[in-house]
Amino acid sequence: MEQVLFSQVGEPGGLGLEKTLMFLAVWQGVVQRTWLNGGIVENGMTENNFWLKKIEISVSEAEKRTGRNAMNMQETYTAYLIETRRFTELKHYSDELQSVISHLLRVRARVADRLYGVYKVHGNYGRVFSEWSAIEKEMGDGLQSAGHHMDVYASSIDDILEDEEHYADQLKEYLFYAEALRAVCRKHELMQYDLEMAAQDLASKKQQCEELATGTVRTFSLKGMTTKLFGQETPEQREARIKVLEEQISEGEQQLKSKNLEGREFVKNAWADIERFKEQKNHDLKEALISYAVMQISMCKKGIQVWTNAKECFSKM
Amino acid sequence: MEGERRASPERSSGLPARGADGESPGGGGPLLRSRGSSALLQVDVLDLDEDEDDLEVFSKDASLMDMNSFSPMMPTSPLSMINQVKFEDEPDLKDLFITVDEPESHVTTIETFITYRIITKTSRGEFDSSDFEVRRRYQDFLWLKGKLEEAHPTLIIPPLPEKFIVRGMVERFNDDFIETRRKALQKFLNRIADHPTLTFNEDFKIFLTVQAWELSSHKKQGPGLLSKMGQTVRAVALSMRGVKSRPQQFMEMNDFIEIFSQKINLIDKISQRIYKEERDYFDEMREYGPIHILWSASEDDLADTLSGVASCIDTCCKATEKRMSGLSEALLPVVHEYVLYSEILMGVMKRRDQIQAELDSKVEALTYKKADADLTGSSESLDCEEVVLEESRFEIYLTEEIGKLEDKVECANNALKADWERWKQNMQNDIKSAFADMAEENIHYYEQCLATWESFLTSQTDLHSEETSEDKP
Repeated sequence: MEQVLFSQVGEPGGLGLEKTLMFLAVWQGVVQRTWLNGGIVENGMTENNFWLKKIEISVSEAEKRTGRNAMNMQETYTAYLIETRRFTELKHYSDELQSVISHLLRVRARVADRLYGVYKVHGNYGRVFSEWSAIEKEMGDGLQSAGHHMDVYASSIDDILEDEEHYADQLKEYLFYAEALRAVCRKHELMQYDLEMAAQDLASKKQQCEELATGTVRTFSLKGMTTKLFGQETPEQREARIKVLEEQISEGEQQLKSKNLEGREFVKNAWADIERFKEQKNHDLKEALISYAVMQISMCKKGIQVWTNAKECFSKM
Repeated sequence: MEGERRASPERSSGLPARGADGESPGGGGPLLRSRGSSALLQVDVLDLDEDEDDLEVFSKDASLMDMNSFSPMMPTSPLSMINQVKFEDEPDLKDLFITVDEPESHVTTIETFITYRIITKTSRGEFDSSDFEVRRRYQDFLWLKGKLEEAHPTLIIPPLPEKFIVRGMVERFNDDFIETRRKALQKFLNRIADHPTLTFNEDFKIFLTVQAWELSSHKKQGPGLLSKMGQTVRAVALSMRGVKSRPQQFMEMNDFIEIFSQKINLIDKISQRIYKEERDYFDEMREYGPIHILWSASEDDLADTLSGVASCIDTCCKATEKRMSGLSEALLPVVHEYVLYSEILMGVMKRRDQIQAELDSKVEALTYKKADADLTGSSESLDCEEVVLEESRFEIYLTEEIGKLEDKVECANNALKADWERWKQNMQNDIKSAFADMAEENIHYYEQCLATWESFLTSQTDLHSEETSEDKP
């Protein structure tokens, strides 16, 4: 497992989860922001190591300091890593799938157009052979019947291309599938972000509360500055504020828990769906490709028949 | 000229022949250069003197030529009769083989041009050797065609490839153009060689055998520019008169030629268009296969199937290329040659009409003269004896001329009739083969594609049945 980077391994007990979440969310944010910016994501080691240097401690250290919590954090962290990677890969795949199927559909359409041209031009032979046969005594019959076969050949492309349209439709289905995948990834992203924000918010409120309670200022804040400049507030005011904050914190903790649960639930279901879709997709696409082969075979057989007939007519001329 | 023809008795006495290209004759001694039957050669020797007059026939003189020209109806010499017998019994027995190859570019201060190497192999006695190698340029071919047309105005002289193609030519001589031209030039010479009359044309022989400088000096002989111009003027004047009455069969021939020309031109256009469409299809197909490979890179289960499809598409792509090249080698040149032939046929019809017009104009002149004489003769016979004498001499002259022209017309018509039948037969065979070949090419194309898709399908279903049997407990 990768080196895990943590700072300030948190307080024992209840705050472990949320602190972990907060840091993971921050870390996730780094990952996602970098990824969104097109940066290379490799186990979170980006060029932007500034963030990461700030939060450095090995897992073993963490273990020493917090015992049980460290294990939880490790597990949680691993889960996050894996989850992130899976969704990243999924997004990547869905983008590729969409791009390649679109391209395929475009080229298939062009190929079909060209094929149409080849078949239809042969139809002109039909007309001219027929007119020519009128002045020929010996060649006349051969020309006439060969001309008929040219007409048959030319008109056979209509059915052939209609069948191919069905194939194209099946491929288009999978464009929608790719779209659906991307939607899942997006939802996951949003949920992660939501969770991250909630955790940050909670953590900052807790910090504020702590500061108010202990009177120490650890982080820069406007309140801190104004207090220094304009004097402290009254103990009653402070108590009131602490009260409010404590309520908010309690609410926040609940929300975070439920959001987290929601997230886990979503991921579990989404992944099950994705697996199912994948099976279905592989099966359907394979069938579609095989049916494409069957279409090609049918087209070839028709071609052989027409040209064999035509050759016979030509030989009799 | 004559000396060369009489060379055969000398040849058999062992003198090395004047190899036309200056080389001593390859292979074998001076005695029997021919690979043909020695019996034939001996007949040559025996009959040569008697044949002299008839052999004269194959020289450049225009108007009287066709009187003795070869036709299945009127063999004129034992020699040609033997050849005719050969022709009828063994129509495939060729004794003159010509190839055209090795185009070479020549740059001078004045111009750039291309020469082609002409290799002739023959067993004929009239040729001093059995192998010849010369270089000729397009101009030389033009000259030969002109001479043949002069000598045989109502025979169907094979077409030459066009001087230049107007549209789509960036470089005057790109490789495709040269190759197409080379093939057409080879066809041209071989068609002449296969023609029962033209094959014995003296200019043809000279074209095949003499070195470039000799050809130049030979070209300068013969009717000068002025006489040629005179001929043209007369021809134009006659054609403007129009033909009084074309015999029925030539009317039919003319109708046929008109419609044939229309149709073959259309077929030429259609065939060219097919080639273009196939090329466009090929270009798109080339992009189609690789996309499947790209896709297979992001799949795991589907990867096999996708790369299978990609490989099938690539195989079909190659098959398309082969189909195209078959078209451009077998069908397009043949159709195009007959487009050019249709123009030639119209020219032949015109020339036949001109010959008839000459006759018609003289006949008219005689008729007027006679009518004139009838009107004036009775009243003025005593006074204008001399005039009457003049006039009757003129009438006699006209009658003689008419006699000659009638012969000429009959010969021209017979020659054309015979050649026409031959041409139609060839046309039928050529068109038949060309289209049958195209059909064969297409069958082969579809067979290849079928095979590749079928084997893909088999591999997929085999896999599937493997998988399902693995799943079974």
